Amino acid sequence: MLTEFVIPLLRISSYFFIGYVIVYTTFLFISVIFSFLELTRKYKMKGFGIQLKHAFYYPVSIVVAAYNEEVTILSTINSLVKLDYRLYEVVVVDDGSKDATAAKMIETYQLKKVSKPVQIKVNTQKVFEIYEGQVENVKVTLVRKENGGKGDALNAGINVASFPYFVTIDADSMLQKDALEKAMQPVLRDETTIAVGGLIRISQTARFKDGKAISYELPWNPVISMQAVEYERSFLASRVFMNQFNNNLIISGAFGLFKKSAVIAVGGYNPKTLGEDMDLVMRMIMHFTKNKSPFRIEYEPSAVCWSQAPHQFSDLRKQRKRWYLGLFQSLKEYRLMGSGFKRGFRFLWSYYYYFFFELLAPFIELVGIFTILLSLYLDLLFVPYVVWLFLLYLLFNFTVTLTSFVLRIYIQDSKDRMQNIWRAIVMILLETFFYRYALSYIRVTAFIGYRRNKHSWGKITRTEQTIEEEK
Amino acid sequence: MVAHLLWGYIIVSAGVILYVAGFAISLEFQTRRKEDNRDRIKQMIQEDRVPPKLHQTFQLVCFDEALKDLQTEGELSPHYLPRVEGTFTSLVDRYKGKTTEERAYFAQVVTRYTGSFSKRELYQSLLTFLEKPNMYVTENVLQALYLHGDVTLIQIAYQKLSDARRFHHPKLIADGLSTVSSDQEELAQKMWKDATSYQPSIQLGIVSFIARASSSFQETFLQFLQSEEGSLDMRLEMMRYFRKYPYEPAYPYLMELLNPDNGLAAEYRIVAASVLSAYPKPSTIAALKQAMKDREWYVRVNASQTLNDLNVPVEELTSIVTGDDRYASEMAAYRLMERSAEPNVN
Repeated sequence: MLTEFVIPLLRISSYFFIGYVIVYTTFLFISVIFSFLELTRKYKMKGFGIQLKHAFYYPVSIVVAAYNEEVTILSTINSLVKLDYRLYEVVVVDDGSKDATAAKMIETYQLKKVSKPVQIKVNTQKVFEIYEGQVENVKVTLVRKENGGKGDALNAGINVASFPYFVTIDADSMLQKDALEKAMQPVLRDETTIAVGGLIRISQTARFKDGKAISYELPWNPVISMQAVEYERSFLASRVFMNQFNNNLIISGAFGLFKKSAVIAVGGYNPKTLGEDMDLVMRMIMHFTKNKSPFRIEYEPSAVCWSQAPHQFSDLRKQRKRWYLGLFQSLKEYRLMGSGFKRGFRFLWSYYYYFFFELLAPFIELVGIFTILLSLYLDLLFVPYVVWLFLLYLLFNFTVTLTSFVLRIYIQDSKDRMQNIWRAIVMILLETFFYRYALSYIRVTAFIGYRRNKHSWGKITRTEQTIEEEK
Repeated sequence: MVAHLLWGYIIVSAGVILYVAGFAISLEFQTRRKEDNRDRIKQMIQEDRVPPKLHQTFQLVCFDEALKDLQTEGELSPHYLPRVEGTFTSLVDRYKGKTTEERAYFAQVVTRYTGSFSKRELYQSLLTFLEKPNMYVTENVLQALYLHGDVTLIQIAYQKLSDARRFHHPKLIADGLSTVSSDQEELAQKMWKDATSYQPSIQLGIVSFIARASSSFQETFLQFLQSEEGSLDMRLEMMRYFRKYPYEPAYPYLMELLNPDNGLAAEYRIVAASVLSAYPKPSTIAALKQAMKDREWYVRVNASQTLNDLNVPVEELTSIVTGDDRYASEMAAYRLMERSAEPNVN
């Protein structure tokens, strides 16, 4: 009798699962092909030497939120002051670090304490001190404040920033030399652009000199390499695709350019969320849509930021948990985006993409695994069919990843070696059999301890960047 | 049905892999093919022949690279490019129907060899590219027109963009006009003549250009400001003109703009507080000291900076520090600190 109930349920579950996989893979296929065509078009432009070269761009403030970043802060700033951009400043916000982040900066760059009045455009925790100095003709400001989380630190940076546009980067990240110039191009193209996201790549896979990656190698550390493969896919596929329809919901917190007045108009970053980057962009979308102000949120894949990825699984776990909870918070907070919002709200489908294929994905996978196991137990499983499905998934993964690699080698002029492609293939196998399920497990268990830690930065182990000195 | 669907995905995956691999291989061959073709075309140029099939973009790219190489090597005959100008004019129609990138590239090539190209016909025909404009196409066409120097064509281009309501960045407009080789004062006058019929971004670009190129627009801009026409950005740019070129009749108007009770947008006060640095008078100082108490932050910042720039005696700033307005006091204290940190110059 139980089987009379269970079998139809299993059948429904199977059909649902298959339908889900088909819709998701169809979307990814379309987005990869679309992105491939779009990036080959940009490659052609580059081949023709067509780019907007202009001597003057809008001045930009680079805001770096830092918490216990003594290991990487100096190399980050040393790279930031060497960018190819005519006018910019660097604002580092020390969010109540317990290490020597501030002390190292003050000593190394001879920063002087100033009593400059600061307009509080967005509220933050208390600011204790402000230091200023010049490093290689770039104004560097250090803000020391009471701990309030990353969003709060970025808000303090916005208050202190002098220029009409600001860029956020993580304290362990490095911008490629031309990143600001490239990130500013969408703004020059269209004045309604209020935010631009850049391409995030993993710094542990590259060696640097003069602000440029001079070689790229997938390390054998599977934690890093699997993330590298994952980043290639998600940035070069779905972000580029969504950009064509002005439908990006996320600008990565690791590197994003924003029009300051637009961010201030929505009250700055929300310090109470774990996904402050997605939250800000979604809030801006809601605000500008409600007020019927034209706006664009762009993605510029030629604006590259190299960011440190967690190299230990325990750190990866913390990071992904925080991202997932941030996603949940944002989708919950801005659920109006998924409802009958006024006059055909154009972000509807990207909202549901994140809802079904990012937020619910780990639970749906869990259901799928449970369905398979139960079917196996009840001897209802057609094993060859499952094996085919798995192989198809592997083939699909391989297709998408190979496309992403080729895009990078040929279109972004990366000096890759063939061995990286072979390593990527190995990582795809590892990802298919292990990494994916590990991430799903992290997400499914993310809500454990949620209430206790929902405002925490999360401590992640940092390492020094590999930077070659000029000879 | 599911099996068919799965087979479909397998075929699509295989197709994508083959396409990507084919693309990678074709890129490798294309590089070699390009080099060989470029060398062949260099030979043709040196023999004073025009390469065939320039309507094909690949061929045009190779031709362009061959010309650049020969120019660098000093081996390009000065008579060659004027001879091929007619060919380029006839190519405009072919490239008009091509992709955005190809049109932008063609315009870029014409720009590169302007100087050797001089006939109006070629540049006039480039205007047709603006019928389906994109920023790169627009900028490259405008660059070609700026270098060619025919002001009428530039005006037609601006009108076309305005009629289509195409945004083109004011900085690009201003910088582009600065590269036109004709007399800048005369150019400023011609550009201003029709400026009000253009769309706001172009108007602003023209005003920015005028601010760089001409000191004789004081009366014109004052009359325009008093007419209350034009976009806010354009009007603010005109106000800034009076800092670079002080004009006594504009002074009462600027002082009125600094008045917080004039009912105008705060931006006027912000800019006025900065522009008045060019009018060092006791009445200016009094107004700026009052502006230090303005409710708008940037008015206070600019007013305090201007007081510093006017070298107002320390006692006057100190009186603000000890005054009853906390925000003015804070700002004045900061400026005093700045001043005390400056080295003494005797």
